[in-house]
Amino acid sequence: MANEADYVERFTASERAVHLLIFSSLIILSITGLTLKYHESWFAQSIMRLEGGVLFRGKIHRTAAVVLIATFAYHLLSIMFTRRGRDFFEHMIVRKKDLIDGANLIRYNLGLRKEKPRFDRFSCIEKIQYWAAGLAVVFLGLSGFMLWFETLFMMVFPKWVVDLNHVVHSFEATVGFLVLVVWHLYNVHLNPQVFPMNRAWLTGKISKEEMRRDHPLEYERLYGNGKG
Amino acid sequence: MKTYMVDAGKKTGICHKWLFLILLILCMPPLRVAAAGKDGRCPSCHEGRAAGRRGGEKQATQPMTTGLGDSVHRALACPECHRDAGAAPTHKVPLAKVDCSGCHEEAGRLFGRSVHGAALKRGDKDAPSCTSCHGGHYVLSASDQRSPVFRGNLITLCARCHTDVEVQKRHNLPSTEAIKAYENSVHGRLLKEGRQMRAAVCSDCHGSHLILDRRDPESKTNREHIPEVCGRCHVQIYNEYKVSIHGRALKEGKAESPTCTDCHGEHTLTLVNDPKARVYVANVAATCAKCHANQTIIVKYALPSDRYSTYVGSFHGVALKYGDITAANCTSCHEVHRILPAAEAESSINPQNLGRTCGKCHPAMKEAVSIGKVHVEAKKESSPGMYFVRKFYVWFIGVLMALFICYIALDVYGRIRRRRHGQ
Repeated sequence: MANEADYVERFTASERAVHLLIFSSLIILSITGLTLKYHESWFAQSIMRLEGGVLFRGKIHRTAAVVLIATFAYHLLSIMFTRRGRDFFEHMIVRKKDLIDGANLIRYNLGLRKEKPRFDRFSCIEKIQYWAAGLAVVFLGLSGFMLWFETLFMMVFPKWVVDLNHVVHSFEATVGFLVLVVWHLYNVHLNPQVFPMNRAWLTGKISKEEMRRDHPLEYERLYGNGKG
Repeated sequence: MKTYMVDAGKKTGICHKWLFLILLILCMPPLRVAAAGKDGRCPSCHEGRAAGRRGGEKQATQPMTTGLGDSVHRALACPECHRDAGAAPTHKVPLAKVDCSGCHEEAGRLFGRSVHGAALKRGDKDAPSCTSCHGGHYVLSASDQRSPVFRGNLITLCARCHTDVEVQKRHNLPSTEAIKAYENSVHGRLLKEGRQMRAAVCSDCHGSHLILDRRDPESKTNREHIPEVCGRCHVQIYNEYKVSIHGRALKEGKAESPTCTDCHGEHTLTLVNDPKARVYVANVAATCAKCHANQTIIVKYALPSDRYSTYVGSFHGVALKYGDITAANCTSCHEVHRILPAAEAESSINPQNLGRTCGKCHPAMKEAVSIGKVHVEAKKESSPGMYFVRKFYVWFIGVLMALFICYIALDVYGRIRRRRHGQ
């Protein structure tokens, strides 16, 4: 490892903990959810046995959901009440620049543009990930609660709303799952540049070199235009 | 003592007439026992050491296989059954087969119409006659535990021929396995363990003298008569079934309408809590699906389609499939025997009654105002909301994935291109 001074903290311990809790609960939610959605397939059946039956599957799913929602709430609170959280969120807001960056990234890859778009703390790629996951948690959390307390829910709404809600939950979860598996997995793991993975989620650190390459605007804001 | 009673009467003097009558009445039973079986001249050839020897040169006499003992026929004299024995002291030719219908007219008439009777008339060697089941000389009452036709012994009796593979082959009869399955059925077990001697035995369902092929409209085991046959013991259930759509349809001659055995089986019939039973909670849906997912029947009777697939895909269906036996199966909502169409006011699935029906498991639902459609097919015509939401997501996911893959391909392409250009 290079000199300690060559590294910058990208994620704090608490941010890493949030990430850990979110991805582990999402994995559990995905497995238990897909098992139900594709219950007829052989893998679902073997998982169902592993999970200890259909009722236990539901309990695991709901426990993981509670963990996820609690973590999500913690994240929201930190955005609202901590300086760092607010800072984090401000950098995460989608701006006009992100659309331009996205278009430029495509042109850059196609060879129509010499220079890579200059990203700030969070690139448009990372923002897609963040917002997709965030919205999925909101959608799935709400529809999930409706499924959890179905009887209460059905006393207010007609059954077709419940049925639709069921479909929405199941498909929305599929979208979320695919975003994670395809988008996130490629960008932080399989991408040749970071393969086998971007270690920032473990160490919370990013080298200055990496920062200058992937987040030049942030680098310049912190260390000026010259060499750090 | 070794004389006919009539003869005994003649020998008695007039003055002793009254005394004799009293004596006669007092002595009658033992006297008759003594007379029967040893009556007349028959025993001199057919009984004891004489039997089998005193038949002249060519023909040996047939020994009596069993005595009359305490048989129901103990009071009868030989010629009362062997009518052709008559008064002749000896007979050169073997006596004809006894015709029981001389006395047992009704049984004889019914037996004559039965499959067994018909086979016997044809001269079928396998066909049973009266004596095959009731015994020859030593005939006991069917209520006597020692009788082969006693309820508890019927299985053994019928199985004697019906588990004979050769007989089965010759007459295209059900296999031994099918017959023997009865022993593990709830009826068979109740009987065997002696817990319920009224449990159905062969004759309760198939008849005794009048056993007919099940295709015969008069047969007890004809589809149309099965509910009545079972209903003789299962009265309450029969009354429920009778008014159900299945019961009514069967009466109207709709042959596909399920009768008791279609769901419960016959010889394999087990209790509802046996996991192997067709009516076990986890198997109910598949049992109903035999007809309700059968395209021919669905079309023929204009039944709602997709009942089974929509159930299997529902929470109830999935929960039940993976072992939550408390999850609703078909009968939880549609009732078991008293299944009525939703349009009927008394139906458990009539919209007016759905709250109560769902409320059986979901107490809070008792007051639910609008339950709505339960079997949702997600078809454009019947459930457009569901249909379009699904369509939207399928497209959305498809397009999203296509975009992701394009992005990844582009990213990889860009890297390769830049490396080639030495950047």
